[in-house]
Amino acid sequence: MGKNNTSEQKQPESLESALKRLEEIVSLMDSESVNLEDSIQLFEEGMHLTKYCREQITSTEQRVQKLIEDAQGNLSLEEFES
Amino acid sequence: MTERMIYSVSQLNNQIKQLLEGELNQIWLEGEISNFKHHSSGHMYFSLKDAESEIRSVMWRGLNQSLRFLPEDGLRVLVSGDVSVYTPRGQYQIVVNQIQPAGQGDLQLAFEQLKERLRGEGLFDTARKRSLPPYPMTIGVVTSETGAAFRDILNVLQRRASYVKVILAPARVQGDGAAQEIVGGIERLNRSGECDVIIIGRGGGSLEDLWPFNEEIVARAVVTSDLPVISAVGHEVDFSISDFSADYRAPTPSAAAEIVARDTRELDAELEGFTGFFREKLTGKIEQMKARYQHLIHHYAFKIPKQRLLIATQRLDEIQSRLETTAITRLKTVSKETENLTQQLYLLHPDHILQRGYSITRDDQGNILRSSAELDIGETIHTRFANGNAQSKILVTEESNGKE
Repeated sequence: MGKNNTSEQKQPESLESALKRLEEIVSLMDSESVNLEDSIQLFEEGMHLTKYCREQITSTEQRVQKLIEDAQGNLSLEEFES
Repeated sequence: MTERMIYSVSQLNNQIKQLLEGELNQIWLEGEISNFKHHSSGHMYFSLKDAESEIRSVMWRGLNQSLRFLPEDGLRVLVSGDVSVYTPRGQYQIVVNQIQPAGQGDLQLAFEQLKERLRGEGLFDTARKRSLPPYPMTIGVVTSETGAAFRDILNVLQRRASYVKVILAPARVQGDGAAQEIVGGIERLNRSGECDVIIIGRGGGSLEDLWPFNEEIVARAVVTSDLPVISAVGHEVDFSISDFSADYRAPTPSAAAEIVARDTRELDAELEGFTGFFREKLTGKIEQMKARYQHLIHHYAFKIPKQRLLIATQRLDEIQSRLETTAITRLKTVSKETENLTQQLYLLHPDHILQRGYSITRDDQGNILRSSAELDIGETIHTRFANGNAQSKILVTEESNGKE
């Protein structure tokens, strides 16, 4: 009965994979054979993914860092002060 | 009586040497290179010629090491040097201390020579180029920390795609050692594992200023980078070797920032498109379902629980109106119920019942006959089976008390 438990959607790996899955959902929902229950399932997943994508691209503050290498060749990141 | 002066060969050559040397110093000479040899000692030996004449030439290692182009046979050059005599062979020659291509700059020539060489190696092949990631979240930039290029890139990304993180690998982008720093920046960004794509570049300048991006080590670092590289050097019209070897050439650093990331507004519109589509499709499904119930209500010959159908239709309306609120759990329960109901209704469908061995009988007017009392002897009746029809005449009628 795992199917009923889809309110817990798993987190996509990346914006890219989320958008790819969204495309898939479009074609799945577009097919005639999909029934109402599956449609709702897909609808729910689609809404979850678009929400995830929105969160990914919503940022008011630009993040800028500087890559530094020390004498031992270790890399570290520090905030960039413009 | 004058004594004849007899020279030895060495004396004569030395005399000539003394006469010549110092007379023709720091002269400029233009000619075409032939018989060019870059000796293993590092010295360069060649002849300079015009249509009628030629002169032996040499350029010592210490001076030719800093040449950026490679002298070659057939190349017209302008040299400056001193005429000297090589006494062991009795040869005069010009000792070159400066050489430059005639009619074009040495950098221009060096550029063309390296371009042809690397092209020949396949470094610029389109097939070798990687596609840029469609939705990069972190962008590495190799450029000067204080340069206009980095400011431009940040400005464009802030305006168009502020969700993107930028990691700067600072490098000097002109002068001695700049090429090595650019190579180091590319290497470090790859090693950090933080980025999706790299932009290397700088603002406009002279060919001399842009030179590090024309150096072979930069061209090769771009090719061996694991991450795709965008080269964005100078103004629109400037091309650099790194432009050719990069996976993508942007005309300016700003332009690189424009194409590297997807615009927030574009993505927003795309997402809006998705949600709109999903709502529309689900609504369509629900409408379809409702139409099915309407069909059941209006066309079924057998008595069916109309009340339940009405409730189902009502529920579908409810689902539809709730789409906006994403009260999904409730929505799913309702959908489950309606699916079950559909199944039950299907079992009640006349066709399904006929399949089970029942039949429907009507009179001449098409009225369904429910009682033998409605029949007259000799009347024609019409019977519908699952897979056909029959007409019959009534011979006998009998009444029972309604029980079989």
